[in-house]
Amino acid sequence: MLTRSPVPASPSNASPRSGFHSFHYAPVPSPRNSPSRVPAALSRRQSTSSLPGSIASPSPFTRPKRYVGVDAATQYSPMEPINYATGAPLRRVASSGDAEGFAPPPTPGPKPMALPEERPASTSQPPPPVKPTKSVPGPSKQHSRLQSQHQHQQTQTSDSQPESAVAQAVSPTKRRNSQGPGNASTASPGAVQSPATLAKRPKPETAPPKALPQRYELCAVEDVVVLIAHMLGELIETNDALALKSGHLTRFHSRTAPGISVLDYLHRLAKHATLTPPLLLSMVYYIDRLCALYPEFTINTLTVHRFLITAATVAAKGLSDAFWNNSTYARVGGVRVAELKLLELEFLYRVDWKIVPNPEVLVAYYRGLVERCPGYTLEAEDELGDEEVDEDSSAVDETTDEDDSGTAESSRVTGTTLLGGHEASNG
Amino acid sequence: MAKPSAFQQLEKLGEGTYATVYKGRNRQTGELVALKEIHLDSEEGTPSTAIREISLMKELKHENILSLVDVIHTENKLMLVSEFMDMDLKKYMDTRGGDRGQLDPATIKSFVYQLLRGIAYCHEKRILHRDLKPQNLLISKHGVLKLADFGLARAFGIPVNTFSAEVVTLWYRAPDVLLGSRTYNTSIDIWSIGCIMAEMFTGRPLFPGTTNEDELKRIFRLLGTPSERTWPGISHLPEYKPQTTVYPAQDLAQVLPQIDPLGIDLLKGMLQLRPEKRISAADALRHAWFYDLPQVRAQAQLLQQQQLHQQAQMARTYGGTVQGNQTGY
Repeated sequence: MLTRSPVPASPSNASPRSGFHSFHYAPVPSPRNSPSRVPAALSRRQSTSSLPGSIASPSPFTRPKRYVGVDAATQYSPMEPINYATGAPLRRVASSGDAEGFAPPPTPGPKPMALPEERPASTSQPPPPVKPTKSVPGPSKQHSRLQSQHQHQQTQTSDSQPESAVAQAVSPTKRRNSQGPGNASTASPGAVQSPATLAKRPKPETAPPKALPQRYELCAVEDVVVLIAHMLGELIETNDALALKSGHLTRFHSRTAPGISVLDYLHRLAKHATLTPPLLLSMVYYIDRLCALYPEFTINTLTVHRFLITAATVAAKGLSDAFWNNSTYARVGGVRVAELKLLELEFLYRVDWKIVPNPEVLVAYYRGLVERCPGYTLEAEDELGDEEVDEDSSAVDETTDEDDSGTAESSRVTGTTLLGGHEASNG
Repeated sequence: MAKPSAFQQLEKLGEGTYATVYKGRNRQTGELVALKEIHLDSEEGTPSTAIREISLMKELKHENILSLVDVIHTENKLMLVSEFMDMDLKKYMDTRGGDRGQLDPATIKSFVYQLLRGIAYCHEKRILHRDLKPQNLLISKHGVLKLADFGLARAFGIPVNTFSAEVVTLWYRAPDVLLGSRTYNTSIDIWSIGCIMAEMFTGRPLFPGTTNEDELKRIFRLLGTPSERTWPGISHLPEYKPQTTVYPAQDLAQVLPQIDPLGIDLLKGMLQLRPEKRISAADALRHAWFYDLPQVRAQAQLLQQQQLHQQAQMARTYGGTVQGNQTGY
């Protein structure tokens, strides 16, 4: 992992004060070693917006569906250059990147995960900006690379994506490899269909599922990201429907849904914050832990991003000897570093500082995720007690579901109360 | 979470790299506590050392591990409230030790035993301490030893394969770590314990190196310079350099005449150059050197008594003196 240098978001990153007191080696080397990459990374993202906190969400074309609903209660002009964490930069980016963005949604890309679209209060708006050049064709190209599983997912989830959603500013920044959620679904309004997409569509069912290693630590990060994003998508869909409108505001709430999909956001975190499969799975564990100990909290469209960047930061700092300083995580996650500090503390306090997952639990989570994600399967095991394990994992899954839905039902997270999202005021 | 005001801050006990420790008093109960204050700055957020220390101490409940009573945070400060201990082992040796700071054999045996119990528990919980040294071992006035300072510790159960080579204070750092190994395990804590044990007998650090190389040289001078033959794979370690001087191993018993033969045997087990040959904490606890330790003896006696008791009960049962309402069993 050390050899892969994460792209430090900015030079400041390499600053000595970065708190590597204890585990000096890890973070330090990378920033130094990869100076050249820094600028590149920055340029992509920052070119659009000069704010440090701004993340341009790497927006894959697949973003089409990503209409972010603007909550009636909370909406404010999308043009507003806000810096509330995640959303702001995006917005800003969007505006700056007008050229690119705001093209009609390129593809009717249903993203595998249920993102913001379902938001009730959403008003219609311009479709998310897509990257300029390739907005239309882009997706198709990308898709061609997509695994069948995505399409699978897409088809499945496609119906769940209401078009009512408004496209909020989506960052136009491009992201080369975003494995976007498929654009299999043509259903989305105004979507432009690319031939490639069409061509692809028939494939989904026929393509064999991708086999993942039994041991999650050997699994490609990108695959783990897809697995988790898929699960989160389902979770959010459920929770949004149940809970968005009623409930407490937490520190994790965005005023409006950030314009970057969960899949893209996770990809982004995994890549630029160098998250490894164990860390990513630990973040999944944190969902259950946080929801169990903090009933007011639910993972939904408004909370998922802040939850993820916070969980990633805590997982890396708490479990790995190689980690970045908070400014890097903040930059990658699109929140201000001061806010990340508060999020981190809040998170740790809410989970009672117990952030070390039981190793067996992570294995179960992994299996559960694979099971639940269309298009993926586990490699055959060497005649071990496969069944038992499977049962275990599904058990975990179920409990997860219960927890989540339970939380959702008692849902206290609301759109109506969203007005004062802390973060928003932070900016 | 209590409020910061729940504790009265008394004198400063020490200052660490990322925290200041004060003696404190629980205003309600009057109980003495240690307050570790950690400043939070924006750039760093909550220091990873604090995250680890707290998250790991929350998992560790053992009489030989300092217990964390509470964690209090404000926006700019984090305060760890733990039980109060009178002093650390370093200070104990300075004030209670002999002319050079050495301790008496009975005390040493008790401390090593408690230290091993604490670390065996950590290892069982899949946690590495990674910074065992006299300053991080706290001693109560009743002679109870507790492991403290888990800021460098980490869980090793989940396969996060990023092990930093910059762990453990130089003098207590195992040779495999000095050679740059990133795949070390529980055995690095055992090495530290070996160093600490020897230090308690002599009052001086066993390998007071000044640099990485110097540290290795001191180790090799005592235990012999390793080679591919004695330590297969050593030449593949990142920091391995062929040694210019090849030292033969010395006889520990001669170098450390203060230690009895059984103690030397245990020490040899802990100071194995090759990590895989180092004794485990669990095995060390069963070492014959501890047989005459009061707690071990007491435990053995207890076991014996239980057995006798069971035998007696069985005798009673079979003797027919069973009471009516218990006849079912």
